[in-house]
Amino acid sequence: MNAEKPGFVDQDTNVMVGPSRDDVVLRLQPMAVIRGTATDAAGEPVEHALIQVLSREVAEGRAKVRVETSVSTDDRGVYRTPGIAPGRYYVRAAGLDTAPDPDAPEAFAPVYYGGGAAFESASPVTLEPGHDLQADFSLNPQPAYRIRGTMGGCLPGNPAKIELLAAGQEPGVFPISVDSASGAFQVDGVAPGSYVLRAAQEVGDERLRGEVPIQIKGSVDGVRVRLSGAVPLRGVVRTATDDNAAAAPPGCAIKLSPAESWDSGVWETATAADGEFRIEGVLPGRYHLTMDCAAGYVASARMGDSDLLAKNEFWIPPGNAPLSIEAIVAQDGGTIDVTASSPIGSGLAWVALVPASGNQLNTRIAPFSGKFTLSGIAPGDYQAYAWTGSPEAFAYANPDARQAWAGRAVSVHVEKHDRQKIEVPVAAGETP
Amino acid sequence: MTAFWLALFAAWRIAGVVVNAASGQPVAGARVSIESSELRRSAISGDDGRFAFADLPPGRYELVGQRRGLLSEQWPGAVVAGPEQDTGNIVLRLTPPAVISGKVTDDEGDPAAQARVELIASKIVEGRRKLRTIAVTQTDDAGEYRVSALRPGGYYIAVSAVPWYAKFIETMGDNAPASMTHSGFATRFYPNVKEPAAAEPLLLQAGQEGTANFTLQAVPASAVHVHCEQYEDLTKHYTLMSPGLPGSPVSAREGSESGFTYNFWAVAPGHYTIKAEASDGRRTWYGVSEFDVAEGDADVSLTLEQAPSLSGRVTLEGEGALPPQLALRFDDERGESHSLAVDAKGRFSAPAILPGRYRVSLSGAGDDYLKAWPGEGGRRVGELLEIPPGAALKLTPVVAKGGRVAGTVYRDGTPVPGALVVAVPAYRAVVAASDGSYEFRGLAPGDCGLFAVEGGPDLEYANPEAIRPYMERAKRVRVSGDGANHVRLEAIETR
Repeated sequence: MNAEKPGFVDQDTNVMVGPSRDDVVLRLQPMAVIRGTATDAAGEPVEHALIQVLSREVAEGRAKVRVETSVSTDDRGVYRTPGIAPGRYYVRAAGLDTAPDPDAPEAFAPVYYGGGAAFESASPVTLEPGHDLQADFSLNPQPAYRIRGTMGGCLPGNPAKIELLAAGQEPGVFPISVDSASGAFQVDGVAPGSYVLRAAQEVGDERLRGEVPIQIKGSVDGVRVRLSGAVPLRGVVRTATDDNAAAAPPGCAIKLSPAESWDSGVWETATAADGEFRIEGVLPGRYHLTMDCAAGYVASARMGDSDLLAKNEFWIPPGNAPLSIEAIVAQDGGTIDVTASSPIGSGLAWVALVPASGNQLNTRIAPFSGKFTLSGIAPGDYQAYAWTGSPEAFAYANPDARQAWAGRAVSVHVEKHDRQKIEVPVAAGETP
Repeated sequence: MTAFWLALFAAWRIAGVVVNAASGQPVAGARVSIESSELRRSAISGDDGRFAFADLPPGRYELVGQRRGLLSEQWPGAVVAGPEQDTGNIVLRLTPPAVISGKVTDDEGDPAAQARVELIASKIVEGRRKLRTIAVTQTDDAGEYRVSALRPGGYYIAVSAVPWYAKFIETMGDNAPASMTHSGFATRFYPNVKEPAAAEPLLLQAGQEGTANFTLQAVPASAVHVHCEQYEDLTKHYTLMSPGLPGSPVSAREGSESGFTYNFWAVAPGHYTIKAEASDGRRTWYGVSEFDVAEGDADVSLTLEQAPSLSGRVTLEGEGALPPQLALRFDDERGESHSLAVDAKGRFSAPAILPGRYRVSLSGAGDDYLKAWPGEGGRRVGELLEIPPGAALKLTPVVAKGGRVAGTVYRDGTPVPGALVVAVPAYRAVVAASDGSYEFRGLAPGDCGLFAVEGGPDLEYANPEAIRPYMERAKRVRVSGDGANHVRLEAIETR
């Protein structure tokens, strides 16, 4: 039986009939509501402030931000976001002064409910069914500027999207206008700082994207951003051998994920027997790459001139040039026997081994029942972490998250071919 | 040398006070902007509401005030700064906005979420009183809606909604009980009445918050299947309209889909008009049909026709060039306006314009006026252009140099600002500036009547009936294409 009513979470219930039943109870969980008021420093209501309800998830060890819903405040500064399913959320407010001074325009700096100006430093609220959360905001003005420019290489007449991304942060809240016929765009209310301006188009199956870094100290005109289409990313992984014997296939699981915390989606592929792999439809932008290889650890990985082991992210440039990655997997890694320093309960636990450099190519994560052997580890220094709960509870690829867990980490140094034992404390992970 | 001349001329001042139009109290922190053809400046009013701009060159300035929490306002006429002008005591009145809010519930007392709430007000548009949709909003999950930033006045409100449970026809089809899938809400008008004839405007003072609650009555309703068996791949945009207030039908429902059929569920009994529009980017097709919904589901067939096209070339009588910003305007009876830019060679075109009757006029004409608009493919009905279905209309409008009439409006021997000055038979109006001056350019040669009304923004100046009482006191001048007339007008108080 299914029951639904606006304002409640849909409910499916199994009912046994035979004999007849007249005592069936269907329980509907009421949805939660977040509401409140945005005021300025003088206590006056802020109209047209943008209120966003965000949630956090972790993918490939990195925190991702998802916008659940967006609403505007009314003339009283009041907003209401109904129909929120129970869960953990972040609420933020931002806006543009509605009667701006053309000589010194101001915007309201983003602020999170519970304090904090950035997602990473904000604290979430937990909404129970039927929870009616009052989340009020006091907004402070900051100087704001305008960006004007044009998109090149786009498909004219088709909708285009402009985003302004602050490095390492969630997308900002800006009034953006795009003239898809001419490719002209304008972004208002931009606070001083460093940004990446991204233009994107999706027309049928065709996807185009372009990005350009931009420094804001005042209003900027004439910004050009060039869009180009998705390209295939090819690569080959070879297994290094000490002698000239035939190498084992590397057996790598390869994941490519966008570096921006608000971009979702992961491309997954695996190497074929000859070590080759191919990922279709990669748009220009910043990415992270992980390779988990059965044959051993990643001893080298290059894309053109760039050494993928030296940095944590790599850049797919705009243009249609084919891209190719060459990697070598070495079999001479070390082995670590990991034991929990205290008993783990019946639930799931996880262990992660992160290179001191933070490089993700040789980061390892595995399910953990109190004892686990990690082998084929690249020589070097590592931090080991273990936690219970969801694998997503710990954003191990995020330096801030590792810093927060520094007290729980166990340092370990790995040499070629050596084997050692470590004991790791197991703490309860935080649910993202 | 330049500095010397600037020092001589940039010596004028515009100053005054911003007040709350309802309370008369000074308004602090308002942004006041002035703009002339040469410069633009802004200032913030002080704690006493006062603002001042000094060292201005002489000229005509537009003055605008805005403040968060109050409606933005332009001072009615231009502010003229220069020798012997008193521009130091301007009073700029900002009106506190009115608000309409309310709650829409169904007959079970449950909130009606996503109900469409339309606010309609009567406004003077191009000199004629028309009903206009001012705002459209939706109720939230609690059935509540709120429309702010309204000017004081009267507002009609129309509410249309679909019961939330009507959607079960999409997933369950005939398995869903008809009491759910075949229930609908008839459009309601303020004060919660069914008949448009019984609708009343909700009257709002400045700063007032009016409440308009509605209870929707579920009645047996029908599905309407709209069949439009042409251009399968094009997205057709459908609008289902119910009769509303006179001249202002209510758009009860909208939807878009390609293919041959579109379904509106849960349509309450009544008389409806269905409109469809489709476009491939170059051409536009449209179709209209009227039908009644009574008992049982309704099947309505729509035939799409290509919308008429309109093009032509403007010619200038006599010497000179066409004004650079010239545009031809076509206003239909609903008050929708199409403005077609005229290029340097006089050409203009609109790939698609819906059939109907249009008033033809010029904008950006400067000293020119529209002398005639002969053409092929259309029909002249009185002063209006009738565009029949399927027409490929060619117009050859003739523009000629018109005359100027300028002057000053006085009351008891003193110039007065802000009066509405009307020129007939052009049926055009301007607002007198701070020094009482006014000017019409591009008036057709011939006899012209002029009068000035104080407190006249509500005057239907293009309606001969409405201005008849004033015409007795109008000054008559003979306008010619070369030279200007100066006419002193005595302000008439509004009736």
